[in-house]
Amino acid sequence: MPTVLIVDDHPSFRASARAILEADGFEIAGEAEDGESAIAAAGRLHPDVILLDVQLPDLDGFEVTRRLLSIDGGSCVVLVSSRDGSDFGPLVESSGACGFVPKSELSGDAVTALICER
Amino acid sequence: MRPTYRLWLGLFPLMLLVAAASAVLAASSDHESGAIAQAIAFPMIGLSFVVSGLIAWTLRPENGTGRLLVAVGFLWMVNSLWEANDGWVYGLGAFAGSLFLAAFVHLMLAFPDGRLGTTLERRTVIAVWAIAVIANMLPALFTRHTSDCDDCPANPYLIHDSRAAADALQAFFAVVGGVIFVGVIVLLIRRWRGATPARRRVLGPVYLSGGITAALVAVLFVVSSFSDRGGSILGVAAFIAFGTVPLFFLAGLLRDRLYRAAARLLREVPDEPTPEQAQAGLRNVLGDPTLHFLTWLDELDGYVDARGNPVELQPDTPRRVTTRIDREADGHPLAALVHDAALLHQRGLLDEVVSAARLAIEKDRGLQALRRSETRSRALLDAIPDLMFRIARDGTYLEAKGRRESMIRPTEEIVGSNVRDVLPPDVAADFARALAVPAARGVQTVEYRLTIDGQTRDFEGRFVPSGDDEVVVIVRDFTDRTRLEDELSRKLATVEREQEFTRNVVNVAPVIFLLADDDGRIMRFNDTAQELFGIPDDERVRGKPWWDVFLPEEHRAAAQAHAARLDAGETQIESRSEWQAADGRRLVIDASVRHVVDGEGHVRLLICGQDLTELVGQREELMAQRDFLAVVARATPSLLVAVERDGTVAVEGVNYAFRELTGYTDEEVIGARFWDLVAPPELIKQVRKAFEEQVETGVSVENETAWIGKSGTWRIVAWWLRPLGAFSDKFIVCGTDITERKAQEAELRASRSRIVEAADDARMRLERNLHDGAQQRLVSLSLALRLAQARVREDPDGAEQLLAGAGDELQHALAELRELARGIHPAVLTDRGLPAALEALAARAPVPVQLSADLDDRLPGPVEAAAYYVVAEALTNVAKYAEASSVEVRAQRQNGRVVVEVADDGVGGADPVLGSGLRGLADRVEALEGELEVTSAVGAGTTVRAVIPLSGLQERPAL
Repeated sequence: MPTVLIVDDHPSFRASARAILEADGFEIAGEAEDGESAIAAAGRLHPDVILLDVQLPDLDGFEVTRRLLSIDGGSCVVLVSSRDGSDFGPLVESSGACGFVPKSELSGDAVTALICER
Repeated sequence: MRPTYRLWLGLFPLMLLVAAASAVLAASSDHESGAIAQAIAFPMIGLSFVVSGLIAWTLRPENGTGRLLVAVGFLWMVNSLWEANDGWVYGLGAFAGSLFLAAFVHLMLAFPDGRLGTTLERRTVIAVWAIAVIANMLPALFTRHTSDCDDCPANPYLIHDSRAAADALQAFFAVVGGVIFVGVIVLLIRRWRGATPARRRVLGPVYLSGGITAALVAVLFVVSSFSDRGGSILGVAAFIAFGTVPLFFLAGLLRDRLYRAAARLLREVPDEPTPEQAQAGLRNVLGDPTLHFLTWLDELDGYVDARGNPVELQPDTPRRVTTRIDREADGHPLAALVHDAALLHQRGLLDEVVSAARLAIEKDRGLQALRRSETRSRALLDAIPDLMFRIARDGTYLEAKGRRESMIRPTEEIVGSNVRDVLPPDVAADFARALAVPAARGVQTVEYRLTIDGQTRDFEGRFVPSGDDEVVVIVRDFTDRTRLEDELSRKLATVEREQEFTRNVVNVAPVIFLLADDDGRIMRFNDTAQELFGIPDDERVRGKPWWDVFLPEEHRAAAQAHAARLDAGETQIESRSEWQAADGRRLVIDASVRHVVDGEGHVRLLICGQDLTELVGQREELMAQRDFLAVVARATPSLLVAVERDGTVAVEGVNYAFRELTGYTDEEVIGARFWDLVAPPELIKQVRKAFEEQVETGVSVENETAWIGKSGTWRIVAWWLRPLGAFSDKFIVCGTDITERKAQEAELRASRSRIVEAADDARMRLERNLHDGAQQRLVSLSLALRLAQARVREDPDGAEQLLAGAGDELQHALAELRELARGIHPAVLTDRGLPAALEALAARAPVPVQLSADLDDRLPGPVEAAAYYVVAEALTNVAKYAEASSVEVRAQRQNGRVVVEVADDGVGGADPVLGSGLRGLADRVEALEGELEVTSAVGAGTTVRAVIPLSGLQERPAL
């Protein structure tokens, strides 16, 4: 069962994402509400998937992705945002993340598809 | 002792001694065949010459003839040494044998003047003397016997006895002597031929006796060579002839003396002598230094002396006598000589002199009369400016007189020529006709024209017969008169044209000419005056005082006084006053009044005037304009500086605004360079360049430059150059102080920038709020609905729970969206107006708000929005920082403005520099030309006050 670290500053989204992913068979390894704590938790938990919000209070999701991958390339970073993916242009692809999923379309299948693509 | 006495005393005994010696030598000679004859001949001939010479010397001491006669006499007697028996003495006689001949030749050539006249004569005489000495001496040195005489003593002076040498020398000197002899003869012939008859009378006897003697000597030479007896007879004859020669000399000389007295008188007394000169001459000639010459004056009927003093004739005395010189014809007295009685012993001389004097005086008187008459005639002729010719009847010019320019040829060419050769044929023919007219028919006149030196000249000749043979022609040159007449006609025509011109000018010129008599009564006036005043120049006004016709009542007395002032000596009176036209119009006339003298010599008053009415009006208008411009220049806030082309501030100086701005006075700026005055040191070049470019191109270009005042204050000035006008070479620097405007522009730019930033901030905030608020809630809602959908069959309770949570989430999202929309623009403001919107704000505010919104009508939208946001921001700040217990909000209209005020009772002490929220509000208010003010003393609460004008903004119509 793949483990997931949920990183978002909105508690309501973290709760919804936990419920949906757990319902789809994922194990929620932990949660973080900003970039720095996400990096620390990833170092500690080594999750299979890191569900990472692009817009965080301290660092943006792309910066966090770069630093996470530089520490531990084993996790699959899935970027999420309430905005449309096209708003970010080529940033997602060049960031090294597994992919992007709009928040409103988050599901276990969508995350699994990205892991499998990897 | 007189010199003549010494002469006689000295020479006479010597003569006797020499004569006696010569007689003894001849008589005792042992080699002379005719000793007795020679003893007589030597002294007799010698005495004849010496005595004649002494007489001549005495009578004519100045004449050398006497001396030469004496010399010939003595040398002749010296010749008797030849007869001496002693060799030494005989030899001397041989040496001196020919000297008497040389003296004789000298005498002949010098007679009767006693001196040699020409250089040739002098040279000849010198040669004769030289030959006479050498020709006897040289041969004598070479011959034992100086002659053929065997009894003669031997020559003691012999150097070398050489007969051949002596003969050669004698032959040589014979030839030379012959040549000189011929020369002497030629000279004597020349003298004879050159002599006057009177002189020939003197020379004749002398030359005759000398010639006879010479002929006898010549014959003697010939005869004696073959007949001793014949020679002896001829010798005696020759001696006798030679002895008479001095008597002829003496006779000729004395004859010449008488002749010479008159001649000397004439010679020594100059032509036209003064009486003193005449007296001196007579004294000299008559040898009486005491002589007085008296002249008879008809006017005095008596004599005057040489100095002109009247003299009475005194009776004769034994010492002084008077010799009268009277006219021969009638015995009329001419002059008188008062002289030494001794002169009576020289009667011949005295008579001669008196005759000569009489002749001279008579001639002199006649000449004087003639001369006076001729002088008068000449003066008369010279005074006549005409030409004068004397022409013989045959047409020959005898005399010509006149100005050269009127003569067809020079006078000297005309005289002697014939009129036919001098004058053109037609004129010559007229002359010939006039000359041929007999004298009895009187004066003839001929008019003719000649071309002289290329110029045509007109003449009138009057032919006046002068005797039978000649005609005097007086010719008048008419050329100048004709030319003068032509010129006069031309000038008259010119004068007439000028008069016509003057008349036209007087009538056409825009000047009033008014002629009055010296009492001021009108005589006439010109067309301009008639037209200007509408007064015709006719009998109705003529004769009236001009002031009554042209001047209004109040000026008449002054004009009347002008005549009196002119009479008192003023030459011209100038005045400016109002004149009156016929229709009552008043005209301003600049007039001058002066005396003039008209063509008939009467004194008149000439009044000249110029209508200045229009000019005066224009001048007043110009002055008003000038005053206006002066006021404008002073009042305008524009900076004005009058400058010359070279940038020097002109005398017109600067205006008030300039002085105020820079602190300079006119005195400080005039003459200074504009750029030196206002430009900061580092900008002087730039300002000068901008100035000169505008002067050069004539195009005004606005420059913005910092100007620095006298005190060093900087202002930013926009300035440019304008020419002062077409009549001036100067310029005006016009400047505007734009320091404030520049500051405002900077503030405006900052304000715009802040507004843009505020708008950007607002959009960012909105996006953030949407993203963080409603969007997140909607995302969660979406996930919750999908989760509920997945569970609805398996876990209906769980799904229901999820849907209930989703409903709450949706409510929250709506509330947030509403709040957000209100933040973007309050709908209640749009819909209900400012009071309702303020009430909503007050209701939502966490601090109790006391609201007073006294606004009846709707305000313009931007004003309502600005007022709303001021209150909203202020209430937000109160809630955040003021720690207030209550807030008072007021909104009301005041004088076309809306005043909004939010006052709390909080801690105060707000930062006077507005925070970003209030700064944005201030920009919004200022954009509407309003003002935002924050008052926040520590402990006294904070008041935010906005005043927004309503004018210029169209008020939104009430709904």
